[in-house]
Amino acid sequence: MSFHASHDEVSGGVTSSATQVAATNFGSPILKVTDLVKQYGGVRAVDGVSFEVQPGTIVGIIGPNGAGKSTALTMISGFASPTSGRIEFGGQDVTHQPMHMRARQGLVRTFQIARVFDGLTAIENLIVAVPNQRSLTPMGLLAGRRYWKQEEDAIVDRAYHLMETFGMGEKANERARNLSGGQRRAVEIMRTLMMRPKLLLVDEPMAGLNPRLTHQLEDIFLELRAQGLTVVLIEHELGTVERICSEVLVMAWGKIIAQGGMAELRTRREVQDAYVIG
Amino acid sequence: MHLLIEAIGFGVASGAVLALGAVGFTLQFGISNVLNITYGSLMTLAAFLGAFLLGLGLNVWLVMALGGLLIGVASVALNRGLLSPLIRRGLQPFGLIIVTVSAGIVVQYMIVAVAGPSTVAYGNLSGATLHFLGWTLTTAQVVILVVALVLMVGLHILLTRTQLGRAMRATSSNRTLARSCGIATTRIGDIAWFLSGTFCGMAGIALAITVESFDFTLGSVVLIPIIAAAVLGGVGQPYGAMVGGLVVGIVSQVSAAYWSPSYENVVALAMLIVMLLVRPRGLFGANSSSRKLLA
Amino acid sequence: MTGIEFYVVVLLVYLGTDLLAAWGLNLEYGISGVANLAYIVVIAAGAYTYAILSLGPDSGNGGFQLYVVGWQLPFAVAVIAAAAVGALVGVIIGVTGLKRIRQDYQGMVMLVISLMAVTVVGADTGFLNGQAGLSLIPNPFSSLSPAVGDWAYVAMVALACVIGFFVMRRFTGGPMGRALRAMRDDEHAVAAMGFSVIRLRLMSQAVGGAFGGVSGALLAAFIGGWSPGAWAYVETLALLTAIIVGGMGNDMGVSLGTFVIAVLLLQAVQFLPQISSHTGLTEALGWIILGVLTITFLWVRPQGIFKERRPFYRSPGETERSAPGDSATGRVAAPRA
Repeated sequence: MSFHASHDEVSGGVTSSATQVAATNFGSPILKVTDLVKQYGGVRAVDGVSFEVQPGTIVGIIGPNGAGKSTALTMISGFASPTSGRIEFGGQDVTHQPMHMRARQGLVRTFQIARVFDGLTAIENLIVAVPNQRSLTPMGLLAGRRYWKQEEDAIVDRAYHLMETFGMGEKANERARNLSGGQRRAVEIMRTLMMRPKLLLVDEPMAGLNPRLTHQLEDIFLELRAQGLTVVLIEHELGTVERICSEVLVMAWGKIIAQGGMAELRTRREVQDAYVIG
Repeated sequence: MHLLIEAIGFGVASGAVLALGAVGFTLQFGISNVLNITYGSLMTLAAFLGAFLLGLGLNVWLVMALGGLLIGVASVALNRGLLSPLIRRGLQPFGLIIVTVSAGIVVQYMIVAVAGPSTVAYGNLSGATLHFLGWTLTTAQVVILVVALVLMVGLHILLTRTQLGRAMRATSSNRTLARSCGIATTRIGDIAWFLSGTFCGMAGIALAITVESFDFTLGSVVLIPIIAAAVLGGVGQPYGAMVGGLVVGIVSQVSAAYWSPSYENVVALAMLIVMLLVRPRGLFGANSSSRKLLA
Repeated sequence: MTGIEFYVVVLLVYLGTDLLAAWGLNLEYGISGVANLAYIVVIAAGAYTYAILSLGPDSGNGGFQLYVVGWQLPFAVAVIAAAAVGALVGVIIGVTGLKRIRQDYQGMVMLVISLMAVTVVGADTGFLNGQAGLSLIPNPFSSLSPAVGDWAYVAMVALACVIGFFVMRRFTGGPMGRALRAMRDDEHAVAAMGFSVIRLRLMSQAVGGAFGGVSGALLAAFIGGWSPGAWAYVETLALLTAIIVGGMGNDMGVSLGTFVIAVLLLQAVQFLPQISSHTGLTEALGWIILGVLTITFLWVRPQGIFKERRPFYRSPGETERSAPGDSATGRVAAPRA
C-alpha cells in the first residue's frame, strides 16, 4: 500500500512536501501550542494546554469525556478561536488565521461525526478536496474544459486509486448519502488525504468502525507516517493508541495531566484516577 | 414638545397592537422553534373574519375575542397538519421557511378569492376622543391598550405562576431535556401555537379597528414591524417582544411626525436590519433559549 | 401584428427573462444552498438600472417623473450596467447570510429585505418615482415597425438565453458546480478543506445577481415600465416553485419547471371563465396553485421532477476495456440519472 506512488504520478516524481518537512526540519516542532485556553461562561473547557508535535510522528490525545480534547483540536484547526494562547504551525503563528487558510497550509482536520457531502458521489467527495484546482480559477472558468481536463483526469485517477486501497472502489459512484457509517468515515479520511496534508488532526477516527477496518486504518496511518505525515489523533480505543502513537498526551479537566509512551502511562496513578473519576 | 408628546401617545397605542402581535410570534417560536411567516396572513384572515362577524351585528369586542379563538385553532391546525409532519420528514430550515411563506401566500390569496381584492373598513368604531397626559387617543385605542395590557399580565401570570407556564418555559429553553423530565412537549407545543394564534387574531382585529381601511396585504405589511419588535426584544422572549413592540411603535410614530409619514415603516425596517446584522439575538437575548438562533 | 401573434411574443419574452432569473436563483439556492427570498430585488435593481441609464434626464418628457442619474446610454451598455448592479445587490443580500445565523433566520432576513426594498422605493418619489414607478423606458428596437421590432426583441432574448445557459453551465456543471454543491451540503467541511466559504458564496450571489439583473433589464425594456407593483416578494416564490418542481440543481429540470410554472400555469389561469364577479380572482387562483404546488413537492418529492444528476466516473483499470467512443469525453461517462 503506497500513497506516494500515486502522488508521484501526478506531481511528476517530486518528493512530497510532507517528506521534506520531516527531513529538513527535524528538531523544530511542526505544531507548537502554548497556554491554550477556551472559556465558556465560567467554565474553562481547555485550561492552559501547551505541547509540541515533532514532524513525522503520531501523537495521541486521550482522556475522559469532557476533558477538552475535541475543543483543543477545534481551536488548533481554526474552527473555533481560543480565549487566549498561541498556536504555531510550521514555525508560523496561526492563532488568528481562519480555518480555510490553515487548511491551505496543510493543517487539516476531520470531524468527530464524519461529515461528507451527501449530494455528491463518494469519489466526487475526494476529487473536490484537492486544493488549487485549475478548474476553479477565473482562467479555468473562462477557458473551460481544455484548460483543466488533464489535471482533472489525474485527480480522478488518484482518487480511484485511494478508494481501491480502502476497498471501496465499487462504491465510487454511489451517492454519499447512501453510504454506511464506516464508509462515510473512510470517505472523510480519504478526502483529507487527497489534500496531501502536512499535519492531520483526527477526532476519534475509529469510533463505529469494525475491527477489520480499524486495523486497516491503523496500517494506513503508520504507512502515512513513514512517508512523512504528522498526525494528532484523539482516540478512545487505547489499543489503537498503543499500536500507532509514539507519544501520548492525557487530558482531564481541560489540562494535560500526563505525557509519555502509552505503555508507561498505563501504570501511572493519575491517569487511572482521571479515567475512573472522569 | 407638544408634537413629541402626542407622537409618543400614538406610538404607545400602535405599539400596543405591535406588542400583541410580536408576543404571539415570539412565544410560538420560542417553544416550537419554527419561524412562522404564515403569521402575517393569519392576521389578515383575522381582520377579514372580523369584518364578516361585525356584519352579523356582533359587538366589536366580542368579535375580537372570537377572532382570537378562531385564529388560535387555525394556528394549531397549521402546525399539526403541515409544519410538524414536514419537520418529521426532515425538511431543511430553508425548506421550512419556504413552506411557511407559501402557506402565507395561499391563505392571503384564498382571502382574495373569497372576499375580493378591494379594501374593507370596519366603519367608525373609535368612539369619543379622550385627552390625558397631553395625549389625544380614541376610546377604541384606549380599550385596545387595556386589552393588550390585560393579556400581557395574563401571560406573565401563566408563565410564572402556573405549572403549565413552567412547563412552557422549560420546553422553550431545552425541549429534549423537558421531554425527558416527563413534560408532554407535543401538548405544550399545541398550547403555544394556540396562544400564538390567539394573540395573532386579536392583534389582527385590533389593527383593523385602528386603521381606516385595509386590504389583503394588511398582514404582510404589518409583519415587518412585528418581526422588528420580536427581533429587538430577542426572538423567543415574550417580555422582550412587549418592550420591542412599544419601542418600534413609538420610534415609528415619532419619525412619522417629525420626518414624513411615508417613512413610518422604513424606520422600523432600518432598526430591524441593523439589529439583525449587529445583534441578531436582540437587546435582551442573552439566555440559552435565544442562543439557539446562532448556528 | 395580430393579437395572437403579439401574445406569443409576450409569452416568449416572459419565458426568456424567467429562464435567466430561474437559472440565477437556482445557482444560489439549488446549487449553493441559499434560499434567496429577496431574489426579486436583484431583478428590480436590474430593471431600474436599465431604466435610469436609458431614459435620459428626468426633466425630459415634460418632467412628469422624478428619478436619479438620468443618462441616455446605448442599450448594451445599460444592460451590462444592470448586470453589474444586479451582482452588487446580490452580494449585499448575500452578506446577510455570512453571519453564522440559522438558515430560517437568514430566510426571514431576506424576506424582510425584499419587503423593505419595495417600501423604501415606494416611499421616496425623488429616487425612482416612488409608487407610480417609471414609464416610457426605451425599447432598443423602437425605430423598427412593431411586427419586426417585437420579433427582433424575441430573437435578442433568445440569444441572451443561449449565452446565459452556456455561462451558467460553467458554474453549475463541472468542478465549480461540485465545489458549490459541497458548500451547500456542509459549509464547515468545505472550509476545513481550504475553501473560503465567503468567496464561494459571494461569487454565487454575484453571478446569480447578474443573471437577475439582465433578466430585469430585458423585461423592463420590453414592457416599457417598472414600478413597485411589479416586484412584490411573492414573485420570488414563483421562481422558487419553478426550481423546486423542476428539480433543484438540475439545469434542464429548472428550465422545464420555469416553462410549466411561470408560463403555462400563470397564463392558463387567465383563460378560466370568470366564475365570480370580482376581479383578481384568476390571479389569486394562480398564486394559490403555486403555493400548494411548492408545499406538495417539498412534502412528496423534494428533489423535484428531475433530480440532480452527478457524473459517473469509470475506474482507471476499466477504461481500456470500456466501450469505444468514450475517449472523446475522457473518463466521464454519460451522467447517470
